[in-house]
Amino acid sequence: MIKINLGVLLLSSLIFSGCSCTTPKVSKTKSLVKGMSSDDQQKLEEYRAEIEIGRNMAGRLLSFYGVADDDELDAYVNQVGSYVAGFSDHPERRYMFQVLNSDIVNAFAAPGGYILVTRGAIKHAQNEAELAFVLAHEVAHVGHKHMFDSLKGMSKEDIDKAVAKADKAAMERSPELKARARPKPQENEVGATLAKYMSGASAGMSILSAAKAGMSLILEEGLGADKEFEADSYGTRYAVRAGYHQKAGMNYLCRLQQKKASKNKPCKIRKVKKKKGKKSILDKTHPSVVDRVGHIRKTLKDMDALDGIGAKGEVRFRQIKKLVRGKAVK
Amino acid sequence: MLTQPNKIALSALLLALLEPQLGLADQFHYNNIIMGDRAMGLGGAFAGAADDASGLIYNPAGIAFAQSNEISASGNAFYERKVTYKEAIVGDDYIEDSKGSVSPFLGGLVKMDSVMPGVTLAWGVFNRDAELKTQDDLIENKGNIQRFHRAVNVRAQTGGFGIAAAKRLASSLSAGLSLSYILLDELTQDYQDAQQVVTDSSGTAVVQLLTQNDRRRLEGAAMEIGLGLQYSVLPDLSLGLSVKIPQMMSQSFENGFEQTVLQSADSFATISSAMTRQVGNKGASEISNPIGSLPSEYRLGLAWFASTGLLITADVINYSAIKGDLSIYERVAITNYAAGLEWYITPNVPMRFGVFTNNDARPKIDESKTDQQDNIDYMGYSMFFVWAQPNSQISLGGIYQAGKGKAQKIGNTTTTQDVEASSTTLAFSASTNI
Repeated sequence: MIKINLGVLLLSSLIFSGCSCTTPKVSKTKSLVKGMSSDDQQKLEEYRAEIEIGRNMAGRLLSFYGVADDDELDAYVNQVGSYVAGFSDHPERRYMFQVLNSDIVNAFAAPGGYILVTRGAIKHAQNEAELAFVLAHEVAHVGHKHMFDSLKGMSKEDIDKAVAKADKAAMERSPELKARARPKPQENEVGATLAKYMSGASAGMSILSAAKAGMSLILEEGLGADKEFEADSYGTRYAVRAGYHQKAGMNYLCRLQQKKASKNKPCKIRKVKKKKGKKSILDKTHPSVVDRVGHIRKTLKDMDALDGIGAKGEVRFRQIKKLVRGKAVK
Repeated sequence: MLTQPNKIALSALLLALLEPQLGLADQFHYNNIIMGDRAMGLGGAFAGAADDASGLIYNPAGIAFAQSNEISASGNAFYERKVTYKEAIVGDDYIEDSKGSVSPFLGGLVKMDSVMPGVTLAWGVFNRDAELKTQDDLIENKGNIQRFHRAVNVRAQTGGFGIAAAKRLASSLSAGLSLSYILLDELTQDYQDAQQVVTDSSGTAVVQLLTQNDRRRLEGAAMEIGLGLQYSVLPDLSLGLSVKIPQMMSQSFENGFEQTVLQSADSFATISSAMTRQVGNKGASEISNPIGSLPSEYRLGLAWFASTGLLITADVINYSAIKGDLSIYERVAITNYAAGLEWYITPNVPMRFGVFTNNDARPKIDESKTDQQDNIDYMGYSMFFVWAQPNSQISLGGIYQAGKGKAQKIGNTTTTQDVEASSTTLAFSASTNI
């Protein structure tokens, strides 16, 4: 297995950025800031690559789900998200929040601070504290670089597989694109190199490949149970620090497995049998609700906050919920 | 209005010279060169697909359905064209040929999802047509003609560069816009001399010698706006519609012309000493609106993605008529048809086939009239082998065109010749996903 060296990844990403026109051109060979140490320079370049990959992923998610296109709603989500991010372990980072035009219940954290939450996820929340938990969970993913570190740790073969999987998944989401897909040929090094030179393209691992691999993680495979539990734990801490109700996250998750008819009754956590058939993206990419709630409870216990009296923010949230009523347009 | 810049018309004794249209570049056929990596193999039937950078040419809306970013280049290794005018000169065939090489298309495509969801951009540098012709003919002792010599050099190119943008308005619908800057540049140098013996009314043998030197330069620049739509009637059946409207920004025509006619009442043996100068003229002209415009193009295409390894396409393309101050550049409205097939023999070896028409935009010849331009309609066939890699392709193949038509190569007469023509293009191309 060949591990991708981060430096190679970043350098090739930056080289690539010059010819694809999707990313700004950044020179690695010269010091970006006079007097900056090489370690700091590397960190800066890594941060830039993280942002590039995240921006690309966010674009793909926006393209797929569409934008809710409601300035008031976006402003509200940004306000809550930024507020709770201010109590995170990385308040110095920049976070950008956007609402996706989809009724599924999910939220996505792309590297670089791009956080996207669906209309469905907002509708599912009963108060602002629950939304704050959702956003804090994604802030924790970003702050702890869960996605970016996962991509860094992938071998070339893993990246290729993830890219192929993301391409396939993208095709399946659009029957028109799927119809245009051509057979996948076998790679021949000579032919590939020749074509690249003849057509004037440069070779190399790219931001796009990393972004596509990221899409596969975010929509198909998930980041792994450990990172999701960690995000739940940190997200809960951030929300509680921010003054939100401590059990908002547990209640939000609990209702994911609650039947529609009993939505208004107090939710009780119970083990449910694994569903047969097609799983939702959330089910595919996250651990079970029971396990997640268990981890949150443990976090609250560690914080000695199981019996706190955080705010739920119900009055303001009631107004916001009016904005997400009805079906998503798409 | 200058209609035939170097037409020879001696009232009593006509010289059987070829019409000056030899010195014109062939800007009257729109499929002499087929642009684009994949489109070339499909005979130019690409408006229904157009999902690579050459969508700039065929249908800007198609680029919205591109699978990934790419750079593609296509280059003609070699092309050769041969036009045979049957029994044009004293019972003998007269043959024109031209050859050269040209790069039809270099372009790239970038999906802008990360900045503008659903938007794709493409750019391209292209050559719609290019011609290098060096014709040098010498005919001696054919009937009355003692000597006919003609040397013609043509350098002509219609090319440009452009950008296109498209957006998926819905899963099955996209709209695109393109803007191209087109440059037309045509330079011809045409020299001819002819010497013949004729008998005058008194029965005396008269030797005539004519020399002509003609230089013409046509230049033009236009902005062309393209609009396109692509709609998937079914996921695997796509319809494409595109319109390209050019707007001339500048055009000019310069003509320099010299002619000398010498005539002797004596035999050919004494011509050098006895010949007397009878007619001589020299002139230059400039015309500001020689072609009027470039034709507008209306393209309707269909693409059937029958299976992963099979694509069938068909296009109908209509070009508008154009008319400027020079009748030699006048073009009538024509319609071309194209059909293509892409078939993956194996995932690594797709083949592409195309069949298309390349009709002449010059008016059909009316055999009761004189001094008309050639009219030759071609049928073209393309076949390309492709070596496919996961993210790149190399194509190699050829395009053969066979044409038939009519011509009036001899001035001031209704005599009409049958014409047979052919052209062969060997081309290669490559594209890489990035």
